[in-house]
Amino acid sequence: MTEKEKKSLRFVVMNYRPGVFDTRKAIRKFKEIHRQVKYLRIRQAIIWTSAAAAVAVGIFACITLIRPEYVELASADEILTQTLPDSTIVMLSPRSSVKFDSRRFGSRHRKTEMTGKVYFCVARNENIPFEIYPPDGYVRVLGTEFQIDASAAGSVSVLVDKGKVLFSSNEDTGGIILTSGMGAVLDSGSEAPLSTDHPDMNENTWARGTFIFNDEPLDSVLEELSGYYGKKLHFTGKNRRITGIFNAGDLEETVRIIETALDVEITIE
Amino acid sequence: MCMYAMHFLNDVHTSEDLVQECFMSYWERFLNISGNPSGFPASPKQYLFAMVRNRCIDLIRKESGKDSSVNLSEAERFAADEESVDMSFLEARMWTAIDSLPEKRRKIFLMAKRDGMKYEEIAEVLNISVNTVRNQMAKALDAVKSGNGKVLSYVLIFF
Repeated sequence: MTEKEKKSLRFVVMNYRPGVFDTRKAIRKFKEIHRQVKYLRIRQAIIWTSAAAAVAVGIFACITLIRPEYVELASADEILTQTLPDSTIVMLSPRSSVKFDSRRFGSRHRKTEMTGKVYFCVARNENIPFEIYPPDGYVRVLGTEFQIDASAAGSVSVLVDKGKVLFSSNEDTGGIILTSGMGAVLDSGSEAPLSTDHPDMNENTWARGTFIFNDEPLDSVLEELSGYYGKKLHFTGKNRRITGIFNAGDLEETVRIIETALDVEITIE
Repeated sequence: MCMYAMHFLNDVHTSEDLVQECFMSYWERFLNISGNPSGFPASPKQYLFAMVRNRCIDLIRKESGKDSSVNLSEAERFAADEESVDMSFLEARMWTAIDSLPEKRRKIFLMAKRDGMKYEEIAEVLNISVNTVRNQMAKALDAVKSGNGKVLSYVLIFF
């Protein structure tokens, strides 16, 4: 052995420990770590891919959920009465419609669109106002019974039986508040609805099922009944005034009651 | 490379850990990239040994406070010596050879070479004949001097 080799041997021998610097063991350990790293990498890759997939699914689900699902109620030639998911009753006169987003109606909002002539009995919900979008204008409601008539082109009228309603040209402008016995008309292009003095409450009869007369002269009462039933009514006697609520069912019965109360004679043609 | 590190650090465990780290770094940087590894060092051997040297010196510098000023100059001398690397290879072969010796033979060898015991003393302590000691020593020396096999083959894989 050369001097250098002897020196090296000395160095090795002096420092020798068994079981250390085992090349085979080191390679095995290296492989083990590397395998773990590889598994870790694979696992990370899987996690990221799954996360990305989950996000994609989530976005797709959101898009599907966010898309509104409209339900439209429409009447043909007869009056159609339906209950909305929030227990509001809507009565659609012939050739009218009400539309709402079934996904959100009742939970996030109570917005509806309507055409024609619809009578609303809105279920009370102080947290979610009931909002209606006729072809023109905007009506907001807490819990009431009222009619919106959009059947005449170019104008929308609202007539309230019970409760309180906000009627304006759109949801951002303040409009007017209508309470029981009040009505208003919004003409297309107007800033705000105009309140109607002495609105004819009997415009709502078809839905309400009753006539309401408040100190009304007999001739105008009969005119009303004529229009509703499509029959000509004449009377003989004094033109007295009537105040009362009559069921809008049997005309003859109504006539009989009036005859008895006012002591007049009425003929139906 | 561990033997090389030993010259700096004089501690088997620190050396082992350091070399392992160097290998991991090397692997991460050059061998784990799928596709064409760019900038693959021309001489992996030089690169790796340089890495070990630099890390050892860093470690020594960090440990300053003890009598490491002595270590540092010694270390730098060792590092500057061109033959250090080859010497480390030789030493590694010797180490592996000793490691591979059967238990008894290794014991005798160490008692003689490390502890400086005479053959007679060894025989007495171990309760065997001097001849046996002599025999074992001859075989041990033979193995250590010519021990090439394992270390070299594994080393060649990397270099």
